[in-house]
Amino acid sequence: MLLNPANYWRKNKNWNNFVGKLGEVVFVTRVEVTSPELQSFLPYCFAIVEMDGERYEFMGEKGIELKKGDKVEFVFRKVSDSNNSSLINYGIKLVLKK
Amino acid sequence: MKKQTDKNAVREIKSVKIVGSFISDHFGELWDKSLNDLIKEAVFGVLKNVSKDGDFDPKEIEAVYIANMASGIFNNQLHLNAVVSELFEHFPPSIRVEGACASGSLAMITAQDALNSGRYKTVMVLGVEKMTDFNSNEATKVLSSASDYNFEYGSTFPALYALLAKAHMHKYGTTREQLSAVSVKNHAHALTNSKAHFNKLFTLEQVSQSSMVADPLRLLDCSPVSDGSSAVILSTKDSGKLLDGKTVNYKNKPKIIGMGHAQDFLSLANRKSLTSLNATIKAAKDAFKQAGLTSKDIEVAEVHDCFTIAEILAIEDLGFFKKGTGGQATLDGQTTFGGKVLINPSGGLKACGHPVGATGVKQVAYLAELLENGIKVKTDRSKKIMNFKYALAHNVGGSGATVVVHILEK
Repeated sequence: MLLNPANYWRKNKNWNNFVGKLGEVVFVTRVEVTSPELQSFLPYCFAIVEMDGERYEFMGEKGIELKKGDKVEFVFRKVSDSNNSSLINYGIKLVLKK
Repeated sequence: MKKQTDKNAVREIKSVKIVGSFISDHFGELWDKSLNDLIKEAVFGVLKNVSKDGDFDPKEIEAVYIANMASGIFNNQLHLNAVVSELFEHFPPSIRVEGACASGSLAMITAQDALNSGRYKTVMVLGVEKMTDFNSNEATKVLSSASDYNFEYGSTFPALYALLAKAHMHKYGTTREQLSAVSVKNHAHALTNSKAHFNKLFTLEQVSQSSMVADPLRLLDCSPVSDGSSAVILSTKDSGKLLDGKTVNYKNKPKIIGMGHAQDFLSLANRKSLTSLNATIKAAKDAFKQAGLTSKDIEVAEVHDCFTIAEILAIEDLGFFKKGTGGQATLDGQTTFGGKVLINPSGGLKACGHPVGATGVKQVAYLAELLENGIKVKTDRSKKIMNFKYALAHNVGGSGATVVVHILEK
């Protein structure tokens, strides 16, 4: 779902709680059909992740395969496709921590 | 309805009768019908269905409750209560109710509350959704608005249920074949329903090999994007009037004897359990308490099978089967004709279709017709009519944040 500018601004106040931190995949699915603004990321993982006893839901970075129990890092990435005149949306995604 | 005395009791309700019911001519991709066409079809259709002796007098309708999820996006129409009210010469008060896929049942309980308060004695509840002017990717985007927008970005409706399926498979060993059995059974049931979106049988292999949507859920695990409308007329009176002045007696009309409504977190990450919908458990508990029944008394149910895993969760959380056994029970034929409890004889959302705002009303309308008329079942040599005394409707909003359960009696 595309974030509008106001929501984008409200949400980015929380990014520093995640960027660079580590979590563990609780359950994950590989999404192969999605909304128009996420088409270029397909297929992508969508996971419930646990960090410091709390659970969150995030997309995986394009192309990565995640499975239950994987250690992941929260990173700052583009989260939706934008056209030439719209904002480029960034947010938190997951990458596999080796 | 049992009168409860303890402090946590569900309050006693008046006897609300379902005096008329209607499901639009067909659920599906109805290119020739607009949102307004579907609303008109339901209003005039349900007025015809109250009595075989003539049309119901529209002036008997004191208020209309209209359920819809997303006409503001799908159809650029956000004043549906006025759209429906102007179809009546007397412009009855009308209210639109929205709660994602549970919009229909929420409109039902809003109407019941008005009846129980004594404000009205006869009301119409109508559900409608016109979805197929959008392609499936666009519809996926609209439906994802039923999730927690800020905390679940990147999620889709199938992705959230896929996570629930993963959790159920992990804890109970639920299998791919068991998920497929739900779809196969509901498509088979839809063959008995002329209004169903799909009238086609599938095999376990076809479901299990259909294209992947969100692992482990495949295309044939998912309910379709459908157009459709449905309506019921509810009343606390003993009789009503037809247009020609004759009286129609409500004595033998089905009654709503129990209802429950519960909520949970929108976001899956915040839920206590990923292998149950706690809102289903709570809503069912209240509905059964109000009806003075248990799950063992229910012979037939329409449950919210937006995805195959959703039906397995439902039949366990409603108490029909022990946790972890719903998939195997389905595979063993315990949820079809001749089994322990008949689940989704209409074909459910999976095969009858899922015009989102219409679904909760359609479940009750379908069951009311079933209680009144029974259902024709083919035996080896002939057809027989199966009759039922009690029925249950289970309607879910989003991935389980809203649940409504209704119990009906013949």
